Amino acid sequence: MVYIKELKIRTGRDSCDIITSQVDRAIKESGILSGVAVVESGDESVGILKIAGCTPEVVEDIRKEMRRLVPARINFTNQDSPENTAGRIKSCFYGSSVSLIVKNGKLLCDEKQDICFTDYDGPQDRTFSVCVYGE
Amino acid sequence: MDRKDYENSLVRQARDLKKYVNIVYESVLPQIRQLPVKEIFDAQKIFITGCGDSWMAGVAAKACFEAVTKIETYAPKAVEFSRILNNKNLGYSPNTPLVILISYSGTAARVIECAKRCARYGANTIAITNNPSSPLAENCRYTINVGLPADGEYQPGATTYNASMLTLFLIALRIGRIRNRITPLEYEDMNRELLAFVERCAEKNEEYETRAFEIAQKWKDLKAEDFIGDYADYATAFFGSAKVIEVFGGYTTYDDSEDWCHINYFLKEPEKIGRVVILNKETPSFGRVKETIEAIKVLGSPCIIVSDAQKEEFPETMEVFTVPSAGYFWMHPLTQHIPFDMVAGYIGALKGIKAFRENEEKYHGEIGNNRLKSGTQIVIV
Repeated sequence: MVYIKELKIRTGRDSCDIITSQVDRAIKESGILSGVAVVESGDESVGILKIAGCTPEVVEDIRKEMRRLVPARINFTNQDSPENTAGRIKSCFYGSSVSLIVKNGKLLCDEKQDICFTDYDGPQDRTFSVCVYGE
Repeated sequence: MDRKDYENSLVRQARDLKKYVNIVYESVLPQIRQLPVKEIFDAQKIFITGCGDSWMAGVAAKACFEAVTKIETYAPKAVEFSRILNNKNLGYSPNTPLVILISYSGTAARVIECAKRCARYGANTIAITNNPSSPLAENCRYTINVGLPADGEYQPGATTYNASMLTLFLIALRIGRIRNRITPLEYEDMNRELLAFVERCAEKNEEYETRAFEIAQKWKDLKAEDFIGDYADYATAFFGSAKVIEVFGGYTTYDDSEDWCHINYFLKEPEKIGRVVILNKETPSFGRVKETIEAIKVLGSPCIIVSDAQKEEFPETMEVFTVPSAGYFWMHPLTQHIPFDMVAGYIGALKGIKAFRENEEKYHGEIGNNRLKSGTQIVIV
């Protein structure tokens, strides 16, 4: 069985929104007890991350490190805005989808990790999808 | 009396503003996206210059640049920029300042002179013109072709003024986005609102035309027109004043509200002077302009107010054109000149005067016709 749900999110500047509860809800709605959930966004310059111990301090450190590794530069070949180009690169580097194990109708990682939607060029109206397959 | 018998170019241009805004928007947006990020990012100061209406488009867009790019922006006249501006303002850092030079024909001598001076000092230059192979374009690093159709009516300038202003707005949005001063959401919203605002204004055309024709009949024998506006509204005041001269050769003056209270207040025979007040309700000096309106009431001058504020804010005796509010205050100059364009157009037609005195030889001899394009060009070092 396959269940797909599309969700919308209004992000902030350099935002990192925890979407674990939305993913949990989608799994519950699917009725699938064992299988895999894939969370993915097709938008440019966004990321879907799995973060352990997702406190504001941890998020801030991740954000800073991402910026240090991929700063917005004015000499990108692409002539869109530097934030946008840097965001696309971060999206490639850090990924914009995660695959998660579903066990007993719940995320296996639920208690230790959070699923986060990061926007590297926000605020914007974004979308992401949850696809649950299994039985 | 049928107003359709008194149409002229300015009335038609005011009516067709929406059509041309859409044409220019489609034309310039892809070109602006090609402006190089690095050079734009380098700009620490912005100058916008031109002559006549083109200069005033810069004055009108200054508020937008300051709000959207957060970069210090100046709009000097071309002759001030080319002959008077101190060298220390030019080329003190790579690609700075960014100088935007406007000339519809691309042949205005003083604007070309500005471009040459910029090149001498390494300032970055963008030409806004309808002629991409013009001398102005040749002397600038980048050219934005506003793309107005060759067969349009552009004299006296209203369409060209709008084309320049809209292009400036879009350049400002691009700079704001590149420098991350506005978010992607704001960028999209501002672009959307620009077109939606013009659409809302165009819906009022019929109402404006009817009232403009009525007012023109009352105003055609006045001795002069006196315009008042502050900040971005000052550009509209200047623009209206320029149309009075261009369309029917009338005597006119323009000023901001404060100076008007100091000087123009004392013009003699106030009851024979038409006063036109441009007042965007978000103008920082809104209260001061309202005090000025009270002074006009005391003088007994006929008065037109063009404002997005409620009609009840103003004396009953005054002719109020209530214009739609823009989502962003700096968009107002794009359309708030329309009501008086129509009034001026109808006055000219009612007086039977040709725009720019085209039937009078003394204005159009060899020297007269070449006064803008000829003349010595020098580069001040």
